[in-house]
Amino acid sequence: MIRKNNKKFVMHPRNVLRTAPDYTKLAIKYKDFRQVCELELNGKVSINFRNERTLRELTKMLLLEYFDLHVDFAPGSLVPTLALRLNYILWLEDLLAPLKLDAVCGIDIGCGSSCIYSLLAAKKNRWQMLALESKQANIEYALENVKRNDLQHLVEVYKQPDKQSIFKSYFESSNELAKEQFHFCLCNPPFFDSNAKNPFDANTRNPQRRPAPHNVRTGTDEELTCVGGEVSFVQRIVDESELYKERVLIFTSMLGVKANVPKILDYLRERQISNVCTTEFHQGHTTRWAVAWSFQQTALQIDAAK
Amino acid sequence: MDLENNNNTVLPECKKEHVDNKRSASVEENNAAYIKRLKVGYNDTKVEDAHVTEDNKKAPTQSPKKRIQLNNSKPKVNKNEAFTYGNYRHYYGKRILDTDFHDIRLDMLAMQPELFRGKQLLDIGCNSGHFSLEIAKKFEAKSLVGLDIDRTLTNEAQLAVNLLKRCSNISATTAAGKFPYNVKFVHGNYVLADDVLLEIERPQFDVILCLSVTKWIHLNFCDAGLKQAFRRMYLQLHPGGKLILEPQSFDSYKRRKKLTENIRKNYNAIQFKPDQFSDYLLSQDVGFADMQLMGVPAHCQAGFKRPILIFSKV
Repeated sequence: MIRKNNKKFVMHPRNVLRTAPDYTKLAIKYKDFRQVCELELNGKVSINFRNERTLRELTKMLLLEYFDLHVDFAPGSLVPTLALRLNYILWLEDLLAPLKLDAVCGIDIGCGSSCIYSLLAAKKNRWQMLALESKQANIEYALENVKRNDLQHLVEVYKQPDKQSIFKSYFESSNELAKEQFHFCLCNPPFFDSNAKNPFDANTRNPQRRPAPHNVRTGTDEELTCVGGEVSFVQRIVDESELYKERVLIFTSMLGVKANVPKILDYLRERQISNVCTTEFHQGHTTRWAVAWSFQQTALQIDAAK
Repeated sequence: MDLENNNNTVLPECKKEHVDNKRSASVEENNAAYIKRLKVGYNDTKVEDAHVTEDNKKAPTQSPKKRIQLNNSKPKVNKNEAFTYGNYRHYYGKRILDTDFHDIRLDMLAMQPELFRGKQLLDIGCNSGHFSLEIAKKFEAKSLVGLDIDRTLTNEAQLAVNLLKRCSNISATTAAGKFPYNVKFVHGNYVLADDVLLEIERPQFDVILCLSVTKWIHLNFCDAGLKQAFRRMYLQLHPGGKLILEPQSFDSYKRRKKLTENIRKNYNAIQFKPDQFSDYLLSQDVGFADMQLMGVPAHCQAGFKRPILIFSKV
């Protein structure tokens, strides 16, 4: 039973994927993408979302078509969906708009092999991005992706020595070139709890009414799960943000599970962090949430949030 | 043969009415009547005629609506413009002239029933689906998909199938592979937007029927479109599959070349003639292994006497 695409659940107004792309035209244009499509009797092309290779080629093609970005993914790693990533970037644009900044600097926590957030932010908005990543294999792919798109001057990839620190390692480094101030940080944390019995099972009260996702899950366990799940991860970001209040203007993170949003909001309230706002990202049948908080009163988020 | 004589007596009557329509259309006063006929279809004109002419006898100035109709009189050619793809309404009424509404091609196909029994069939240009349904029923096909470029016609065909399903007493689950549950109609253009899409075409049918359609593909989508359609047919066939082709001869194209500006342009550009079809289908560009002449149905009307060819894929 599939929920009708309610008028409420649409993408961000500026999202270029708000109207579905003409896949037939795109299949004619891009050979690699064509190979993963299926041709129907009436001449239209259809996509089987339950295949990992299809999802990978689809995102690669969309990045190329709409942003002229040539991106490659490490085999087996998480294949990002463009619509969601775009929604996040657009929300950040909305949060930063009232500040009327000339040059924007941001941090991408855990950029992965695609480094997609940093690439999009740099290509689309010419933001200066610091991409933090702990896994060596991912760093190599990320550096390749940045180089392939000639964005070295805007995107810096930094290797995290351990998985526990978020900003600490970079901010405490004695590197003179390390930046002082950032306007925002963004994060797409591992949603699921590796300690849970069935990390990927949805906590649903009524399995009949909730359909299975119509795309296949991609990504390594490392990318998808961590001890304590996203709640624990975001709580760590909150803890570190208190140490570096003046160095990042707006802290943000995505959350994959609706039930975790109030948990994070409670956590922020306990620490007397009052300048907080949340939002929702809608893409087709999937919804994600995000939380933003700031220690500076200048960052007035209440108006800008959607 | 008596049967044939019967057919002949029916035909001239219909034809005469056709001609009458054309003559009266040229007269100003009858334009409104003519337009009404267009909408209703010539079978029903006898009933409508009375009403229409009566209205017309009253002064046209009475109703502004009528005046607008008069001013908007469509030119004669427009009547055919609706059928640029050969997507005639009541096509099978014209084609099937026997007293028991029997398409003579069915007899010809019945000479080789094993071609269809338990097979997956595709009928390109199925129009309202009458013939497709006959084939699926008579030869107990495993499945039949009918494709037509005209959505109204495929809707009509699908309605007919749904009606048959409701009338048959078998439930959908137990009779999955049986008529009428094995028939489906799809709306679409067989010619693809670009040749490169052929790269991802896969075998899905055992037999493809392409009966009296090549002229329309040819006139609307030129040599390139028809060649692409032939290649697509080959690619969609399983190994051992057959293409049953009933191409129209080039002489019959001439009559239709005035349909639209586009068709006239395409007609003049044609270099790939029907007598070259077989060679092309058997060449490396397509890849059929051999061709057989199934026969030429003894239709009463010379225009419908077209050879039926079978091309085999190895």
